[in-house]
Amino acid sequence: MIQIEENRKGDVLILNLSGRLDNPAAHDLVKKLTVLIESGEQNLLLNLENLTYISSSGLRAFTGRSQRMQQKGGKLFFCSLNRLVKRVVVEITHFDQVLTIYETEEEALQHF
Amino acid sequence: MLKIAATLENLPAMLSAIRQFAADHQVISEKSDEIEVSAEEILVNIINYAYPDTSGDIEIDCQITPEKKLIMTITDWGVPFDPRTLPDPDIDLPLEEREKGGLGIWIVRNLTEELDYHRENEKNILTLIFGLS
Repeated sequence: MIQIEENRKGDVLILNLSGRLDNPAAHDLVKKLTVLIESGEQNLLLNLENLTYISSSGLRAFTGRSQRMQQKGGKLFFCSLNRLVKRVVVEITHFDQVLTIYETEEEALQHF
Repeated sequence: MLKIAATLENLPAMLSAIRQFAADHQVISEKSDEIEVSAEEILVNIINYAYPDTSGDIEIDCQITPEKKLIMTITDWGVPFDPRTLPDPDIDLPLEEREKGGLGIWIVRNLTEELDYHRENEKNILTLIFGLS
């Protein structure tokens, strides 16, 4: 189960994800991001501070939508990974090499 | 512990049962999350691929050993498949060059102390061992 809270700072739409990004939640997230990207959002930041769980379904959601955003000429960044998410995304799968990830929201916002 | 139809609709119930077992045995939440991620990777693979032409079940059993290991046994009656035979993904390749598949099992290998498989009486039996101390 995942909750998504939207917050806009300037041109950037920040999505604060909280809860668990398991297989069913990943499908929901893809739908949400697809609507945003296809409707023209060019600057998206996913704040993962309160995301406590991620599986490979979630990883594929992130990479798939990042690629789509790139195709549309926009930016989709991530920030504030916590322990398990960092372990899965960075240490085990090296997806920090394919996703743009920042330590903090403040740092991420400087790169839009 | 649980035997249930192998469907995505039942995935939350499977993960909830595992989470409850961990909580009942005072497994710390960080380790419980790792256990659950590993289980999800295996269970989703079984749900998606074990029963291509029919429906079938998944059986999940957990136990804690005196040596403070959590042993999870996941059984299905589907097509023979040893997930350990999947090649490791090359995690240093750019995304477009990475082979699809194998990522979930790679995550499981890295979150478990041991991953064992055997085929017995038309069953795939996968054993995941987690250290708790």
